[in-house]
Amino acid sequence: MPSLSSFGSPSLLKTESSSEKTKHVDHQRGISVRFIIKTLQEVFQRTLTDRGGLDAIFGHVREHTVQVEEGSNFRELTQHIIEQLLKDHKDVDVFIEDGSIRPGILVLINDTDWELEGEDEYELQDKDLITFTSTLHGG
Amino acid sequence: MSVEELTRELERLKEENRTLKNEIADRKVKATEKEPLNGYPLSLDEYSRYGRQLIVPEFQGVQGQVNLKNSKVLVIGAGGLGCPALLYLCAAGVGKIGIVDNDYVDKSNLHRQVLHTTNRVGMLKCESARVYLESLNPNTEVETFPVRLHNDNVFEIMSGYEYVLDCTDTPQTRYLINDGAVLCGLTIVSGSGLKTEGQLSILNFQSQGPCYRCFYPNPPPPNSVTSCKDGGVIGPAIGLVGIMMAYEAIKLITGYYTQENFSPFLTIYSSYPKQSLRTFKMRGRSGKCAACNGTITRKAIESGEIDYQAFCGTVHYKVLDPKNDRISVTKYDELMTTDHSLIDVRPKEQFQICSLPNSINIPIEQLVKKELKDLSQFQSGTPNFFICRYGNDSQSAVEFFRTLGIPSKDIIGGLNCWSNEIDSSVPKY
Repeated sequence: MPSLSSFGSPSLLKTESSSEKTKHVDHQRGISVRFIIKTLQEVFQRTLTDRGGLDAIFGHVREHTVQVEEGSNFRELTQHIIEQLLKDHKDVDVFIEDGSIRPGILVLINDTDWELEGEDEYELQDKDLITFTSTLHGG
Repeated sequence: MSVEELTRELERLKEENRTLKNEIADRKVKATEKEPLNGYPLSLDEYSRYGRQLIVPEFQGVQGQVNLKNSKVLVIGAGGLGCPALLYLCAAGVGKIGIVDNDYVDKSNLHRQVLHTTNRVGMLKCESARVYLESLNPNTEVETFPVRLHNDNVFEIMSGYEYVLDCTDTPQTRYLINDGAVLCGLTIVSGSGLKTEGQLSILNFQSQGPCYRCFYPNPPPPNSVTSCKDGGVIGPAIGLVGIMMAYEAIKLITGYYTQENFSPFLTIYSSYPKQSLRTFKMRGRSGKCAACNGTITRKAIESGEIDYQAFCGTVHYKVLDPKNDRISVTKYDELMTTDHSLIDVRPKEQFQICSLPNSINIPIEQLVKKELKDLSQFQSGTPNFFICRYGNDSQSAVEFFRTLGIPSKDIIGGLNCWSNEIDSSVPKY
């Protein structure tokens, strides 16, 4: 089972889901990162169905805006997602395997494969758009 | 003879009829139209047929057409991706096309697999595709391989081809095609799709670009892989990806892409909310990639040392004890008039297609979120039965009820089996 220990101390980050438009988090040194979860619903549902513990982990909200401190890296964003958005820590292995994003999930930072951007070490920039999407196999 | 055999025989005869008619028509055409004239690389027939694409500057002119004419393209899978890809490749004048598919045309294919027709249901897909393509463009040579691509035939099938289109539908075949193509030096045009979305890429470009394993060194967990049969697919969504694959192949063959201008990419098509195409810049070839760095050899593949099935894994559904936790459709048929609850755990779209009398629809995702207090109606002591499409999710439901201490059983084989054995008027979809 993957552990959370590699993700350091609990974060001070805050999340604003796109469905709650009235909320606005104003950090003095904060930058805003948007991320989109595409086609992952299926993955989560199937995996969780097998385990019998589906608990609306992303609450069917596909687009989230996260305020992070300047200088935060991708690993800290992942930590924030699994701490703040996955309600049940048992579900972390849906997202994480061996300390990083699990196989079958593509991570794209703006218009680029995250591997070219340094993966977990990538330093988040204001207005970054992160896309998590599943590799498709159907034909 | 069965209806299927008769259909196939009929198609064979129709094809023979068509071939003979074409032959007669061909002989009537003046020899000068079929053969290139002195000083011209193409025949008069070809100039007329391809004129509209020939005059588009990006197509690279006559040389682009000559390249297409001399090209050999292998298309693996004649389904939702393969059909539109084959159609445009053949129409554009690819000289030789190979089609690999051992499956037969099914009625459920027709909404998206546009080369197949209602009267060819039951025919081999590769042969059905051939019938269409031969009447579309007699200049193209079509070779069919009615076999499943496997460790021991991949090299034989790929030899003699320069490009391969991966139009298949499982990770294990995708890894096999990749490894074969890397070892044979074939550039891969890779497409995939599901529901309303699709993905497109060029792999192993001129044996320099990244391959499927560079992108995806580890296969996804098998329970996260959804097929078109289970997840559904919209015809135009998968069709667009197939057409884009044909276009990428044309760009490759006509010489648009070079070592200098080619940059690894992944294009994602989404049809909702608005149709969009986003192209992402992807990683290059990885030194750690087992296919690109020579760790995977032809010998290791042919000997079966590389086991793609084991590499990608298979889904193991928890199988309940058939004696105590499950009942057959026949048994349930007998119990139908007794006092009981029947819970159908399929998604509501599927429940709307068909359902058994007095069944309650609680989709599995919603069911497993419920707490004991929400389920009092199932705790009166009368039997609870679960049903789904094939009898997998219904087992998960029984397991879930067990965790809450509520007894239940599931119906083996689901509505599909009910339709086969009890009531054929219930539609199968």
